[in-house]
Amino acid sequence: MTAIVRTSGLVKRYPGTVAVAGLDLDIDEGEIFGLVGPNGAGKTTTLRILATLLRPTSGEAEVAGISVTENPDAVRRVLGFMPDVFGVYDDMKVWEYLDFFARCYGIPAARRRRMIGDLLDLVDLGDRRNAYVQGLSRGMQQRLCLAHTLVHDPQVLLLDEPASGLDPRARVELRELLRELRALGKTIVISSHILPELEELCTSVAIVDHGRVLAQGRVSDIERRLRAGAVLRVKVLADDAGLEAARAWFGEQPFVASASLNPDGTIEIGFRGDDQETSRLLAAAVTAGLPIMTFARAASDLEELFLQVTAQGTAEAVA
Amino acid sequence: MTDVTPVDAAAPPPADQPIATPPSSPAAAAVTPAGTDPGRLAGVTAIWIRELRGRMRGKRAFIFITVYLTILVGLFWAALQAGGQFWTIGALESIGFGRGIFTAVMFIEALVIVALAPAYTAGLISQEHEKQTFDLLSATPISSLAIVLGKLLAGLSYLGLIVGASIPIASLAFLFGGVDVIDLVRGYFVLVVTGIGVGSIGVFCSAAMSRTQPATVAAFVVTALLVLGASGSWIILEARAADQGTAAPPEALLYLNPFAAVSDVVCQATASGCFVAEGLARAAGQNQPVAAQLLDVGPAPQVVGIGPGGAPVPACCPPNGQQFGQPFVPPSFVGGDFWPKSVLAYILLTPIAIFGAAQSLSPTRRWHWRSRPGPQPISGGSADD
Repeated sequence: MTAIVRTSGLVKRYPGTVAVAGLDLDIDEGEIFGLVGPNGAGKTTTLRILATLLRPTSGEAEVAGISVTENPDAVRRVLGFMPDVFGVYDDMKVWEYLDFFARCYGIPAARRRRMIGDLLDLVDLGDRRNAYVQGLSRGMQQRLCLAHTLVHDPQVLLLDEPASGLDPRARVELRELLRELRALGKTIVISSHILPELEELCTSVAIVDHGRVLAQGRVSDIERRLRAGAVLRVKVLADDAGLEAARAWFGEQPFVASASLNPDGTIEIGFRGDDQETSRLLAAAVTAGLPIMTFARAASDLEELFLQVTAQGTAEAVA
Repeated sequence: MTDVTPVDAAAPPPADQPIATPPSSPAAAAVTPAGTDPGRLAGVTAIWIRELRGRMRGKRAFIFITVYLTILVGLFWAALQAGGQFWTIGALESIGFGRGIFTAVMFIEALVIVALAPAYTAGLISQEHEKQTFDLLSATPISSLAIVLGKLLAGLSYLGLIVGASIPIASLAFLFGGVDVIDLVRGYFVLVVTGIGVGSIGVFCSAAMSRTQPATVAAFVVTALLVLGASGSWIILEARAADQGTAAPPEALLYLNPFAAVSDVVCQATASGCFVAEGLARAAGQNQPVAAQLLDVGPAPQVVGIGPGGAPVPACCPPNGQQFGQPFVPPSFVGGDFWPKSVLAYILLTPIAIFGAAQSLSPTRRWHWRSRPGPQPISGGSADD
């Protein structure tokens, strides 16, 4: 894997505030990379620096090996940028909108015509070719804006909050579209604070807060680094007394750090053992006659990780 | 959220598993970018076409031009009615009427340019900010200069359509006589250069401010200062100079006043309305203040023929106490000296305003003195490491 987007010690200061405070990123080719963070974490500023719309105060940023500060023109040719808030030109038809941006990239007329049709089909707007842009729904405008980022076949797509303001159906459609683009070889960098959306889509994430990367990598890797063990959730078919007895039994087993009873009747076990020890624990529980209904490792979600990482506060904590 | 896509062979790989990507390295991409290099000015056409599509679509533009031409024709018809039936007038009145049409159209078009050029251009770039489309445009490789030129061209195209629509009416002067083709060409040349200059001031204001309303106000204020303020200053300073016997104010104060330039063109064409040439000549002589001279301008000479020595013969009311039938003695001030200076001033002002607009467009798009390096990786080593 090669890093196609890289930032090193990126800093952006505004009077009275630091939006990005030494941000380091390495994003490999072909990834769908999520920038996760609360509002004001520095996600949009970082993307705007990468898109050559902002000049960093210090530090370096490269896209496809090209410095965004030294050669912004070349960077603009290898990336497509979709801002979080964007408008549409009035009195323009859908095909004219794409035609305009294709002209901006100097794409010849013959190639433009074919490409516009392909792109409209890709974003499922083929039947809206002659509709006016301002008459499209928010979701359609979002897809059209995404299509405009593709007119020059860029290697990297920077999408700032691409699903904001979309209804659930439009979000699902957008997610499918992004997966399709990834299958076409694009590297996609998405910023969002809607964590479930990124969790299902991203191959890697960077958790950003206060302008710094607190954790970066695959969700499973971050989880592994964050936690000494795993959380097991066990559902036992028993009354309250039986549940309490089962909780006590689990609490006495090897590698079990903690066992607590959840309000929903499940027993949550902090377990330090590996997969073999987990298997042995289940076998022991069955042998002990506990009426086990479900026994599973609790899936950690991005939201949980995000809260944990931001609570720890520093990237060093997870390094 | 639930994934609704059925799993099949064409489905994308799972989210946590990177897919195989095309064997293109970032460094290779830097040398051969995915997009096509549009060239430094190639985006001008893109911007121009988009603006024209937006501006000319719908009824608004056509209604405006129709109303404008109707007013022009109405003024022409009213003047004709006031002057008598044109099929009964003699040669003298015909020439005077032709020159009157030419003079009126020139001044009306100068007024149209001063009034509309700032209005049409001051919102061109600021509206991109207001409509939140500027980021989309800025992320493309179009140069700032191309954006500014494309916008200016679009604004001036519509203005040109309006001004150009008056050419048939101005050409009616040929029907009546008294004006040569070269006079018309000269007049529209001055108008075009002035329009480009005033339009570039509007684009500069539009680029320097992110809101259309302040940009429009600024464009009108700057234009008014250049057109009226400088000319007013010249008149005041000239009057003071005449009183105190000091040097006349610099003539350059009048260069950016299109009415002064048009007046000079009219003066050169018709030997009437020469208040600028006369004023400058008298200011140079320091005889009396121009403010007073302006009130003292006599009626326009009416030419009926050619006298001895080829001098034009006025029919009535010749200046300087001359009589009918006597050879017309041209005044010491003649038109044609001033408007080239005005044109030159606008030719110098335009690139300055355009460059300023391009520099004001975006901090990341400013042109720097140092040369830009090629698209090579900047950090140590290759991007593949």
